[in-house]
Amino acid sequence: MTEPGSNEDKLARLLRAAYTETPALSPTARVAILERTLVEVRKRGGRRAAAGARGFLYAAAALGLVVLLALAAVQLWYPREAELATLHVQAGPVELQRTRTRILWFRESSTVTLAAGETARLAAGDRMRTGAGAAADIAFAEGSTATLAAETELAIARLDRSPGGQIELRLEAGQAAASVHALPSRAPHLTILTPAVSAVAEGTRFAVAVIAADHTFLAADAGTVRVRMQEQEARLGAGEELDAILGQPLVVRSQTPPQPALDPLPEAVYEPQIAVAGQVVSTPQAAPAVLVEIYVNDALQTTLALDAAGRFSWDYTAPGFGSYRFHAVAQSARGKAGAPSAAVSTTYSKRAPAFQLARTGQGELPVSELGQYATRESVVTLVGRGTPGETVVIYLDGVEVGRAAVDASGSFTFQFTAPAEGAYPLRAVALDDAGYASAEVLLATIVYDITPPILRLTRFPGDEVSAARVTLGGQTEPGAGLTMNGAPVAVDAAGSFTFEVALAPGPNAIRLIATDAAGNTVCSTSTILRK
Amino acid sequence: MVTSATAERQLVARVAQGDEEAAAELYRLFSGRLYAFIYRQVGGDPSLGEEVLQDTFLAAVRSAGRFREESTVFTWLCGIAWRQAADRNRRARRRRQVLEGHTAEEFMPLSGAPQPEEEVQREETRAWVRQIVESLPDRYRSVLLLKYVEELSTQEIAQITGRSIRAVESLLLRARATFREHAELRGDV
Repeated sequence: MTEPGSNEDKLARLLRAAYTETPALSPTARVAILERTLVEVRKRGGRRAAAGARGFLYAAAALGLVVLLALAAVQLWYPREAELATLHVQAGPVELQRTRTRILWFRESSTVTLAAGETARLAAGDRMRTGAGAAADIAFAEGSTATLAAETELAIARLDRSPGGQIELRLEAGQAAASVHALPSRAPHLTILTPAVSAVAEGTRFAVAVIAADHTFLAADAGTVRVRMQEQEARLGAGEELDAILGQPLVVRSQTPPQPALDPLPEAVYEPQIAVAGQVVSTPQAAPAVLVEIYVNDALQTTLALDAAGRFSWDYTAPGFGSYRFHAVAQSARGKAGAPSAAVSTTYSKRAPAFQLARTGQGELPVSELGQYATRESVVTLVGRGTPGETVVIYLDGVEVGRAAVDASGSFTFQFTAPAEGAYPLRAVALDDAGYASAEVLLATIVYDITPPILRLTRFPGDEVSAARVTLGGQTEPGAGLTMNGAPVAVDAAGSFTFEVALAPGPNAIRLIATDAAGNTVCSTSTILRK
Repeated sequence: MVTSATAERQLVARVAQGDEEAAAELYRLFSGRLYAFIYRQVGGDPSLGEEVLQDTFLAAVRSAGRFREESTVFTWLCGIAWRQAADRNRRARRRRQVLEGHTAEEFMPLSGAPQPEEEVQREETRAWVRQIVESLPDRYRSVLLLKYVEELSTQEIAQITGRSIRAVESLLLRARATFREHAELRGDV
């Protein structure tokens, strides 16, 4: 509001006075302007409709663009399979099935067969199968490696891109060995899953074999491996192994098999074939032995399989005469060797002459209890067996006393003449044409004895007794036989004897006869009167 | 017909939706007052006023959707008309500059029948007031007319011209001073 009379009020009145007229639109202009305005309104409505349609199209296009951009962003963001491992085929064929994300959840699978020397990049989800005789290595970017044996199926279940990421391998059949690259600050990161167990490597080298769906074998060569089977858990240390069998306890054992034991051998053998045998007794604390190595004179000669009882046998053919020392070493299925067995030895010799009998003109001599052949004859014929064509050399006290040829039937005879009474241990060797001699053996001890044995009574009740039974005793030659009135009397090894005799009333004759091994006899007759 | 501010705003909203009846009603309600406003803003040129009025309604139809209801509908229309008129005035001034050198008589309308002396004097006063107003810069002339002829508040002037209230007040102060200087030069005020 302006103050009346003020300059502003004066100005206001001047201006209002100057612009007092109220202009009016001409009717024509009024109608024309209205028409044009309404036309504009209609046009705008049409534009709005068109704009609405266009807007819909624009919105749809914009939405499509947004979706495309979102897809692109998601595609960029979406974690693609990181190819963080390389498969090296050592021996083919190896079938590799690869699955890769193409767009979002759209995945593409392909299968290739790789030959020896070929390589392929691997990512999570890849599966590989080695054929018969094939072998392959997997090198992981973080430094760990895995080796696949023939006829093995392995899938890479997880292969994280991030540092310290996890590697999970699913071994479905066959055998795999892994060498895990362990960093001091790094948590265990490599896990092998089998149908029966999960094995987490804690910086180690270890091997896994799927024996069956419910049976997995694991062995740690370095570091430790944590094995989980259902509710059970075990920790394998270096040099340990276990058989994880569903439903059975996890028992950790040494990878070293038990020590074998060899059967004793004869001191000498006369044929080149030497039968070597032994046994490996299984224990729960040691790996089962599947093979034994046989060493001859510390040189490996053969490897033998074990039967169900752990026994093994082998016929060794000696290449020549001499001593042979054998020992055995057990091996586990993984080729781990146990402690060597105690050694057993034998000597392969030329077959020594074998004594058969000794005879005189009176016939074959019996062997005494002392293993001697006693005779009252000075000439004794010895008969023995040997290798046809060889010569038997007879020694007495180290001095050759004669030779005998072995005939085609393998027999030889040697006539020995005793120079005087006495015992003659005759030893012999077999000698072949090449000059090889057998071991010297005792052929027989001939005793030339023409002296009757002693016989004396040391216990005699007297010439007259009243008792119905009396005891008598005495001494004779050791080994001699004794009879009393024709009945044998026992003589001990020292030649002593004691016997009881029943006396009839009146005089009783006691007739003792001693006979030595050579047949020499002595007779003693006594009479005891029973009053 | 008396309409409430709310009803007027609803009219604008309907125009924005393409309602021809609403547009006709809006035109009926405001075309007269708006033409008078424009007529004075363009220096009393009827045909120019009609053109500006046409342009104002066309612009109002096109921008009805952007009416924010921060002012009355008439103030909003005045703002559109003021900008249209200002544009026309700028173009007219450039045209006058091109025609400079020609005598005023060539463009002065011929006087009609003789008038009484008092009426002649009032008419002379109105004439020189108008001459002074028309000789003022557009920004001064415009705010003087808006303030003292259209009798709008400073706030409404600010909404129409797009200036702040303080700027309008300052402009009015300078416009009055300038008008007074021109009037003193003539020795009539």
